[in-house]
Amino acid sequence: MKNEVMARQVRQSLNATLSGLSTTPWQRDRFYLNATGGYKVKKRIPLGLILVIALLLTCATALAAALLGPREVVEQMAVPMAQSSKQENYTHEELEQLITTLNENGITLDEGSRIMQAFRAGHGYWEQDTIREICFAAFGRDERAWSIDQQHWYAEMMVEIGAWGRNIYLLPEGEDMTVPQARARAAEALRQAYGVELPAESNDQWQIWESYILGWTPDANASREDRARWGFTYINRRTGNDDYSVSFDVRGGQIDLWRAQYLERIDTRSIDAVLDDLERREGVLTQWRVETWAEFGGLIQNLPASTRSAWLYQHAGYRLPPEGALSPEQALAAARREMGFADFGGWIEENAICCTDGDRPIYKVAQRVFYDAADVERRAVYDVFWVLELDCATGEVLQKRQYSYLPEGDVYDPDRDIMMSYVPFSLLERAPQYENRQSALSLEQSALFRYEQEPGAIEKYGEVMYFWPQEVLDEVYGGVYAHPTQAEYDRAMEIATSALYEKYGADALTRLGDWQVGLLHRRIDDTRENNRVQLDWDFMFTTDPDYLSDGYRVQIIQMVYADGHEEIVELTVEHANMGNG
Amino acid sequence: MDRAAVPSMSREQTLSGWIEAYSDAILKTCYLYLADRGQAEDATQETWVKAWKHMDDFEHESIANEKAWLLRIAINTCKDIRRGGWFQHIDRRQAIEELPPQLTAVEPKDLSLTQAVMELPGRYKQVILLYYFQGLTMQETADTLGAVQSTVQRRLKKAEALLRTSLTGGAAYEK
Repeated sequence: MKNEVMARQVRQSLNATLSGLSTTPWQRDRFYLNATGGYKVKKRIPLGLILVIALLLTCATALAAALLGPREVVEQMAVPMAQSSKQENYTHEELEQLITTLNENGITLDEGSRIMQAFRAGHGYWEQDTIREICFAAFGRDERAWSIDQQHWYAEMMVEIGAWGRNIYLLPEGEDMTVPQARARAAEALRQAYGVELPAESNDQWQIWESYILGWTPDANASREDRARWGFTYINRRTGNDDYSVSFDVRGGQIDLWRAQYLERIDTRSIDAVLDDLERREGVLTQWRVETWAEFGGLIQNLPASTRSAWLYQHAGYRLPPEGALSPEQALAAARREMGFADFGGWIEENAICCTDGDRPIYKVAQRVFYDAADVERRAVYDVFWVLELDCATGEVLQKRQYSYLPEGDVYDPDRDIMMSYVPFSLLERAPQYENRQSALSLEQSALFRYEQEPGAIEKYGEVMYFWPQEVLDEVYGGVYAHPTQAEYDRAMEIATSALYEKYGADALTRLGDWQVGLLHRRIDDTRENNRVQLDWDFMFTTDPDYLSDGYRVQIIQMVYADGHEEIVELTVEHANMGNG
Repeated sequence: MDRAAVPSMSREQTLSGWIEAYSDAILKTCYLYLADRGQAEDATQETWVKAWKHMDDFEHESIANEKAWLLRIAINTCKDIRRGGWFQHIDRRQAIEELPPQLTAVEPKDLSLTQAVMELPGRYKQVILLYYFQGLTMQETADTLGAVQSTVQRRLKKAEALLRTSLTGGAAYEK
């Protein structure tokens, strides 16, 4: 019999993570036609040209002598090679010819890139990615920083080899603004809106990403003039947390204006909120530096502790190592020596936290063998980890404890204590008991996830689960998607439509025509930790519930607290057919 | 989609039906195996080319379930694709980040578990994908992999242990 808890968990997580990964009707059509020999999507070129290319390839030195730039190598060699092949990857020999020609013309591909790794291992590589890698070498690895001209040319090459259906990257033409005019327009719009002075070109302080593309409009037959969109984003390289963005149409009419200032301050309303914000800023707490732990300790000092873990964090006395103490690196090295890992060749996951045990500053070091270099087939089960406490000043190992990863029964065990890695051992015994409140909608309570019923539901209700009846979602997904109350739904719709109108205009839905709204809703009970419920709303407004070829998607993450007040943590509004271009 | 139940279906109709019914399942399985969307799409295409070519063999196979048969082709195709050593260097975290936007809410634990599955050694990943993710039976999983049931059971046990290790060991998502 299956381990149903594990099976459910695997299906649920993989399906959630991969929910955006699906085949389009067009792709399935292509699968069929390719399989049955119907057609090949790749562009074909006349036989005569193939012969010319063959001649060129046998005379690679002729190309080298001409001192070609990367564009010429792509245009004269990489693209014709791709067009002449039925496959979508270059053979190793073709790759060798390309790389040789590039090198002879002074262009070097990144040795760490996948293409070079494939080449060094004697393999070929995908045409599309190979050309992209050449462009990285020529224009820089950050595609967003490519010029309008580079973006257009690259897209043109992708169309030429059949990788892309069309080129949506435009070049200014006719009455269009020139690139300098558009840059000036962007800087002026942001100056007026935010009072910020932005340069015309990237400099030490500002990185500019610019684009000129055919944007999406509800009217599929809209003209180039109606669809052309300029986009400019300015990234503040110095602060790293101050970005501006503006987009406007071909006539200069403003479409969107945006400013992001990330985490100007940490939300200090609760210990968990502080933890969340610091994790957003610094990454998961297992990776925090001692400075972050010290900041955390300071921020939560006077906040109410409503859970055991919150109390423990609050009383751990996080601090910077005192003067003359071991550095965190030295503490880790001391712990490795203690555990016999001083010369270990594999990968040890470890972190050091400086906190206070009584009056004594100590390092908490957690160590886990993640991968042993000698264990090439990963036969060992690395099911233990160690937590050590060291005197900050001397490095003396005060305590050393071993723990098992494997709680009996389930992958997830919400009650398993993991605090031993983060607070002094002595504190664990002193922590007060907190009420163990049951989650209102735990996975344990929900029915088992009956994935095998999904094909039947798809057959009956279509592939787009946004429009499945709630009871079908219940039946297939066993309670993963929740039933909102009418009041909750009305409030969420109010938030969603307001955001939609704000971004796309008050007539956004009217313009769509005969639209419908679909919803996926999840409820995550967080009363135990934070005395709140998280409501996730994923609305789909569209006239095409079968394929979502038009319309809007609005996602909301809403926190509702026990006292009734709400907080909108995330709100995104986008076109529904983003995935389909 | 049981071909035996509809004997009058042509090869083209059968393939077309299979493509509609199983392309997403195959694409997702290939993606989890290869950690590269482009290559997963190619592997899916290759699976259908092979399925078309060998469709007549299906009736003579010991494998009863067409989905299991197709997944066997898909997994073997993935094995062929990732035979090169360079494949070990793929950043699976980045691969997940490059996925199209999810249609459902994804929690950190979902990402952790997906990544943990993708990081499993091939033989353990296969049993998790077939038995747990695709919902095949133990026998179908064994047939798909060309192994006996006891081997599948052993691998499952080991795969579960590895997943637990990976998920609970880091404790990154727990507070």
